[in-house]
Amino acid sequence: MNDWTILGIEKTNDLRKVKQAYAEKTKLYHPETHPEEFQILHNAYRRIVAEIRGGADHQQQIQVPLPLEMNFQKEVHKPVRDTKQDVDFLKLVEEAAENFEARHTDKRDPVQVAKVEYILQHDARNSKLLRQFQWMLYNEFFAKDWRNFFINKEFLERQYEPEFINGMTEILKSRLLEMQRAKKGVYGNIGILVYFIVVYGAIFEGIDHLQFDKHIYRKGSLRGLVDMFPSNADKRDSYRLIEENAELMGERYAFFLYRSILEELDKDIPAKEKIMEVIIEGFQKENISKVFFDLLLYLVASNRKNIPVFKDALAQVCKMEWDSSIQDEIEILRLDLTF
Amino acid sequence: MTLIGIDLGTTNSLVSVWKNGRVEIIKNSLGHIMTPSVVSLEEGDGILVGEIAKQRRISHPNHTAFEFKRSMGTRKEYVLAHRRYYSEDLSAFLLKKLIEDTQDALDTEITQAVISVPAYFDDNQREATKRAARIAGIEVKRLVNEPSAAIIYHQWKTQNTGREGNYLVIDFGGGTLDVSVVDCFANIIEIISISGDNKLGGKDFDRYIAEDFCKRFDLKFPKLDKLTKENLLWVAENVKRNLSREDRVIMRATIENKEYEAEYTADELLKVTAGLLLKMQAVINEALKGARIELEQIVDIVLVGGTCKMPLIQKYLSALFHRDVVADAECEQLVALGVGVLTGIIGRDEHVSDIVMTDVCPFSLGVGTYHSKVDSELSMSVIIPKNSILPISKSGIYYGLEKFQEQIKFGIFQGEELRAKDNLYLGSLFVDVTPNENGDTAAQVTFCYDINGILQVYAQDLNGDNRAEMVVVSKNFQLSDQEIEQRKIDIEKEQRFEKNKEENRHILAWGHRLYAQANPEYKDYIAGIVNDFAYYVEQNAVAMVQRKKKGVIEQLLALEKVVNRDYFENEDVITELLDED
Repeated sequence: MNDWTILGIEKTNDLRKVKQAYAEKTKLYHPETHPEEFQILHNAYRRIVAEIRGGADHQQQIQVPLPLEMNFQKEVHKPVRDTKQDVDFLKLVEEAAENFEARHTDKRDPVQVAKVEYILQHDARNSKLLRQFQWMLYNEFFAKDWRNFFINKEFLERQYEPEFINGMTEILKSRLLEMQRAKKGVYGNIGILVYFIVVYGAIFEGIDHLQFDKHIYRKGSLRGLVDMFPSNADKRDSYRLIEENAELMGERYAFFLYRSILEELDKDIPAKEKIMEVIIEGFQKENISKVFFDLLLYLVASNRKNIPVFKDALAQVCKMEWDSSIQDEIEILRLDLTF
Repeated sequence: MTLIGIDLGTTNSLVSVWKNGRVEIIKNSLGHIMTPSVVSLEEGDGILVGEIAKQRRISHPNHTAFEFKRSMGTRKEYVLAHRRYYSEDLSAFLLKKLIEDTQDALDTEITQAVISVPAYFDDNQREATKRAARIAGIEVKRLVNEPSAAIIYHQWKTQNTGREGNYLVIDFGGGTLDVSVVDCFANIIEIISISGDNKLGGKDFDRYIAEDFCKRFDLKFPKLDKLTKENLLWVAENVKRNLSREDRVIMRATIENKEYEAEYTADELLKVTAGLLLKMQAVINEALKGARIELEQIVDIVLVGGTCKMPLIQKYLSALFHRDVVADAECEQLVALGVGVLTGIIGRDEHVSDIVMTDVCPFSLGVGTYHSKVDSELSMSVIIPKNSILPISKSGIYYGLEKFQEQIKFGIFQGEELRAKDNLYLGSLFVDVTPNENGDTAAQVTFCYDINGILQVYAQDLNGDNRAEMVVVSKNFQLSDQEIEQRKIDIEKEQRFEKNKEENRHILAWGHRLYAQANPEYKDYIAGIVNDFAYYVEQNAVAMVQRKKKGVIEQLLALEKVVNRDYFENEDVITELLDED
């Protein structure tokens, strides 16, 4: 049953007709006597009105500068896209746009849906895995199912292949609405997906329209990633993984990942010592030293500076030579340490 | 048994009834249609209500209570001679008097009533109104929002002649201001958005005039004794009224045995009360924002309430909307008449059975959540957004914070603020969840808000069969002495940290305000920015705060433009009106 059959009229663009039909049905399903039926009726009416007004009901996307940690280094690892348009593809878009209204009750971008259809049909090698991904996304699975998916052998083999990442990104984009709706479960399933958006998807262009959600998902996605390492021992080793990928992810994300893991392992002193070693090593590498610097600031901020391991490390860092751009902050750090 | 309608106003109350296919206002025992909402305690412990009590307001200010609707739902005590009353007790006296008069007039017993309340009353205030009715011995069949009642009557009267489209209803009463945008077509009355200020009304105009009068003679209004204050407000009210008919009015008052005299013109009234007019404009702006419509899409503007009779208000609105905005002669009775028509609709009377009105909830409802383990305070997570049509049921899924968590507590809140504690707390629901190692504990919470404003909350464990449900009844809260002491200590503690640095506090307050004002689609985004910044401020991380500050300010600036869209941009109506003359 779609919205039009609920209102009991043929599809039309005439707002007066829609309102007339709604008025008649409302008298049948009066909100006082049929509250549940009325809710269904009203929702259908709202959607149709929004559709006729051509999205006037939907607010324009806000143009807000990204939070500092969201400034990705996009130039890294950017694949070259074939811009030539496929005739086959265009035809598919037209068809999909036509059938779209009939098949879906909620608003989804027909072009995006068509894109996904196209990928699923033409990428024979990945289509099975992608379909599974799409299906799990649609049914809002829990974290443990996602974990199984992500440690699946096939997935591990292909996770860095551009075609596969491309397919996943397009599927995610077509599911925007569902993801926005699910934002309340910050720690759950969707968090892990967003990890994929931010880590892999962000490398590709066209991710900007997701900026609305990135910030909200951030904490959830990191937590999701940490949860993916089943045992504490695995967690301890996870910093290596992060380190390997820090450049790829963008340094801000590396920082937040470290931070999440630190929180998880707060009582595990040996693990911390290990991490501290890495941090100090990290300072000697020019490219990602900023990450570690932020991490230090965070350690100071979170009152961990009294733990001996960290204190030593901090003192060591303060003794190092720094370029002038962060000299002021180092001064503050030194002051903090003396207390 | 007859169902009656009661308009329980801040200054005046009215009773109406649906009879033989039309609505009728019931006159009180003195033959007036309006009964002043004033209660006075007689020397012999007798209670006086209405006109007589109003007269005693000047003679026995310590025995008389008025405008008590303004403190509905609070623990404010009114001391009449030696007795103490809450606002709901005083309202009960008033209701009793109204019902007795109606019973005499109709010669039947009255047990049920529909009562109108300001649209911007929260659950606490609505619950207090219901309690007042229960004390007075009647059953409340329905609470209806005042602007909604007014538009029902307006539509019923113009049933065959009225235009279809969006109406703007401005209900400016003695103590409250409500603004609604309503879509009317084919006997359907659909409220789209509500906004209001339940601390702004005609009485504020009196106070502004009285304060200005004192200022002219270097007197301090708040420092005067109660009797003189009452007298001054009374005179000020007369000045306000007479300025509707005359160009200039002389205000005379005796203060501390000295005669004072000052002249007021319409222009001066405009200057004195400009602040109140701007507040009104802000409320209208808010309603338009909530409805997401443009100014041109408004078919008509309906003025309701006594304050709208002021020519100043009509002139101001005309200049604002670039069209003639005129108050109806019966604008003070519109709400009562509308409530009367509604009793007919509820009674399924054949004359009005095809009118359907749908209303919306004026405040967001939600639960308190932590966004992450590091958050120190509960944030509001909205389940039913403001301006959702009633009845509505909606749900959200929430996850446990800890591994092996056995129970999830849902605090239920009403309001627009980001921090849950700044909103109105309605109650808590506990649901047992199936603990597990992965920390995947989850529960689905469903809010059902029905047409009578009753909120039912259900929670379901998603990994097991545990369920919990409750009907939310709001309670009043009072701080004990110990809690107040604790707060004092907390505040002193905070002073030593970054938290109290003026600028950061300002940025956080700014974020919180934006959150409260934003339409639902922006709320989570703003919450993210504010929570993140607040974390570093709380942790006293100086360097991190310094680095974040600029980015946060940029984001908030951009959001400000989107959230606080000004419908009346560059409209300096006050200078425009002054220039005209």
